[in-house]
Amino acid sequence: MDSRFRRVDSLTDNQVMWQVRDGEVEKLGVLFERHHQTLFNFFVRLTGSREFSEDLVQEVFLRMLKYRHTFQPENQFRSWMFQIARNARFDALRKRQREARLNGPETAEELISPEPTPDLSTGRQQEIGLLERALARLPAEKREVLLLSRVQNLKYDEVAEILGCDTGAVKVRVHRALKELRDIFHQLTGEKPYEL
Amino acid sequence: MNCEQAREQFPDHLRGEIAPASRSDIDAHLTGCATCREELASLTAMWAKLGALPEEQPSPALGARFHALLEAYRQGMNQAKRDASTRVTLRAWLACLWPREPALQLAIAVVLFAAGLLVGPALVQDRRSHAVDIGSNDRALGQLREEVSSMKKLVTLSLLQQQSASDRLRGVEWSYRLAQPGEQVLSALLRALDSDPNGASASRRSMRSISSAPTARCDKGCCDRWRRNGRRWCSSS
Repeated sequence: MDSRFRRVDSLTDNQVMWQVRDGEVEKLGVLFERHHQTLFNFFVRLTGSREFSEDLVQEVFLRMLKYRHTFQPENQFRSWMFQIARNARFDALRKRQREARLNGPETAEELISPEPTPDLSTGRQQEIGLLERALARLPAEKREVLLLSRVQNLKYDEVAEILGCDTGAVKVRVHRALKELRDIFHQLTGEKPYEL
Repeated sequence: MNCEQAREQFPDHLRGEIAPASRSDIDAHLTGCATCREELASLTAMWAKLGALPEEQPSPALGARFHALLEAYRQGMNQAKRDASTRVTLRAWLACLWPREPALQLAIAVVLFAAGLLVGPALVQDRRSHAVDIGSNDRALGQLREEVSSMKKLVTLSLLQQQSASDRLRGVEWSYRLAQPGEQVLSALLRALDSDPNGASASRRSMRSISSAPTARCDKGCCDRWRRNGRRWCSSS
C-alpha cells in the first residue's frame, strides 16, 4: 500500500470516510485500496462483463466523492457503498438500454469468461465454471441477494438496509434463490435435481 | 416444530446464526425428518460452493483511472476554493471602506446629512428657476396667440370691406377661423349679409357657427341689428 496511507491503516472504513467527507478527499484512496476488488467481483458476478464492471467501480468512487456529504455518522460504510453500487448499476443499465447496446435482459451467462486458475485441479475448475454458469442463469434479483449475503458475506440486516426491505424478507429471498441455484446447477451437471 | 417452521430457520442455519432457544427444536425436527435433513444438506453444500468462488482480479488500469479521477477532482476543488477566496477578498475590500466603529459610522452619517442640507437647496433653486423659465415661455406663447388672433381679425375685416364680392366671400371664410370675432367682424358680416345676396348663406353659416361657439360672447348690439333683420342671433335674443 502507498506509504502515504500507512498511518490511516488503523482507522475503520467509517473513520476514513468521515475524513473524506470533511474535505480530505485524498483519503478516498485508502477506501479504494480496501474495497475496489470487492466491488469489482460484485459487479462482474452480477453483470458478466469485466469492462462494464471496471466502469461501474470507477463510477461508484466518483459518486462517493460527489455525495460524500450524505455519509452520516450512523451509516455503515459497506452498506452505504453497496447502495451506491446498486444505484450506479441501475443507472448505467437504464442508459445502456436507452442506447440499445446490450441485448438480452438479466442473465449474464454468455458474458462471463473466468480465467483458469493454475493452482486448481481440472475438476475443481470445471465445478467453478458450472457454478458460475448456474449463477449467471439466475434472475438478477436472486443473483444479487446471494452475492451480497454469501459472496460479500454481509449480514442479513445489512443486506436488508441495502435492498430497502426487512430482514425477514431477505432471508426468504436467500432461501428461494439458493434453492433455484441448486436446481440449475444440478441440471448443468446432469445430476438428478433435488426433489422434496 | 413442523417442516415449514424448520425451513424458515435454514437461512440462519446456513450462517450458523440460529438462536440458542431455537436450536434444540430444529435439531430435534431434523433428526426426525429426512426430507428437511436432505434439503438442508443440499442447501449447505451449495452455500459452501458459493463461498469458495475465486475472486476475479480487475485490470491494473483500474487503479490508474481512479487516481487520475481523484487528482482531477482535487484540482477542481482547489480551483473552486481560489475563485471563492477572490470573491471574499473583494467583499472584504469593500467592507474596509465602511468603518466598524459605531462612532465613526455616526460621524459619516452626520457629514452626509449636512452635505445634503447644503446641496439640497441649491438643487431646489435650480428647479425653481427652471419652472420660472417655463412660465415666461407660456406667457410669450399666449402673447403670440393673441397677436395671431388680432392678425386674423384684421385680415377678415379687411376682406369683408373689399369691393370685390369674391374678396368679401373670402372674408366670410376667414371669419370661421375666429374664436372671438369681436363687434367689428360681426358688423362686417352683417353688412355682407345685407348687401350681398350671393354671400348671404355663407354669412349666415358663419354667424351661426360663431354664435354656437362656447366662447362666443353675446353682443347685444349685434343681437339688436340681427333682430331688426328679422333673424335670431343667439339664444338670449
